[in-house]
Amino acid sequence: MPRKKEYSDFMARELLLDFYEGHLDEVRKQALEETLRASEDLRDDLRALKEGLKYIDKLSESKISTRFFETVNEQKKSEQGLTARWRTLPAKYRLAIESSAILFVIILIVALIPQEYLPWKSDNHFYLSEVNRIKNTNDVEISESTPNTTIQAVESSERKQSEAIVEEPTNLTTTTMLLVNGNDKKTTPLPSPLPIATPSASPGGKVAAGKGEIYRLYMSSDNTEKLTPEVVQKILELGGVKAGEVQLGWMRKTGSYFHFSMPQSNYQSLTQYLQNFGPVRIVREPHVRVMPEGTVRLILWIERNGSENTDDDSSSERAD
Amino acid sequence: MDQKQIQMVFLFFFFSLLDEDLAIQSTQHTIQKLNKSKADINNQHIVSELIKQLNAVRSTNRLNRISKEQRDFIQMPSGVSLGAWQQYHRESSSEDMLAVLLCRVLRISEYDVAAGLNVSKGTITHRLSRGLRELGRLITLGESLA
Repeated sequence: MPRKKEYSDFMARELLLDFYEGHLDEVRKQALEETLRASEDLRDDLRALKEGLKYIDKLSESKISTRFFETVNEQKKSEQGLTARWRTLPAKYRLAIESSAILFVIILIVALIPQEYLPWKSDNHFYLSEVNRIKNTNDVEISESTPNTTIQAVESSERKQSEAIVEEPTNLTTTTMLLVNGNDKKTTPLPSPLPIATPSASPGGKVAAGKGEIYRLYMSSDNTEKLTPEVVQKILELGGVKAGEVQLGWMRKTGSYFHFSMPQSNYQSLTQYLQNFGPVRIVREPHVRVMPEGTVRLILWIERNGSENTDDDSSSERAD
Repeated sequence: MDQKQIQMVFLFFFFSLLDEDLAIQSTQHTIQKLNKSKADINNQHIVSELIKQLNAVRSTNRLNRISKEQRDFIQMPSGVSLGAWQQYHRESSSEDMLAVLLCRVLRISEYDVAAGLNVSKGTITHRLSRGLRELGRLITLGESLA
């Protein structure tokens, strides 16, 4: 006698379709009928299955009109069109093409906009500074290249071993003046002839290039050790403030170096004071750094007399 | 491919995409691929290509929209509404819907569908049974609400 089958609700549910279509053998059929009798949910499932099959059987009788084949043939001709091809492209390619097109348009717009309207446009000019190690010495030469000038700045970050190098500017955008105090008994002739005050090409001695300016003062002395502290004191009295990295009156082998800013109103007082110790050569140059209104920036170099230098306007000076 | 196979392909895309324009394009694309194929065009091969094309179209387009222009390509039997199918299309799982569509609407054998989809016959039977029950439930619910 065959063993009586019993089905769980899960198994019975899986067999409902075969049961309804008569694909089960007698044993399974009876077992499933017993399970159905016992479960309301299974009976509901069976009813739903019947409804679904009824609907699908009708849906499968759907027919296609002859117009479909006419349209398909027409579309075959137009399927080469760009729009149709575009629609069938995979999404990643369409996204890539669309984003590239948008990027191109943005770049084009930015390129066509006048530069003054661009928010990141700046009027500042940047100048490169080179720091070169000179052979056999530990000197550091700092050069600044600015348009139309050949200025070498006198700043060094190494106090012990670096030497200051000064080069006279040679172009016409700077103003060079020589101040001599007629009453000065300590005047010492400078090593080389200096150009007498000749205004620059610009009328009124105005600075032609750059928006800021710097005053370079050159003088010499027999006793820089004694003079330097006095000059420092005077600068401080006149409201001078250290502007560079080194201290005011930085003593070197060949002279003393002062880099400072001060109120413009005291500039004359300073130059008059310095004339007491000898002729002062003043070079006024354009510079990238713009000082606040009413303030001037100065670099003063007091050369020690007797140091082995060649004070040539057109060449750089090197101290021992 | 013969006319019957072409109709089968179009019906598949129409009922799975519910978009006549896409259905026509997909049909043409599938027919071209099948014609280019050197292998014999049997039901398994057709099912495999149908699924590939369906997945490709789904990834690139919005679906489930009937175009405004009624083209009357499909002649539905009287008393049968596409609404129930549309609702079923939205609410059922894709696998069950495809099993119902391939096995019962297009009348492809469960064996061929299983081979084309690279699954077992039992899986197709399970999906079919579940899909039909779900469809029947939606129809019954819709009628009770009407």
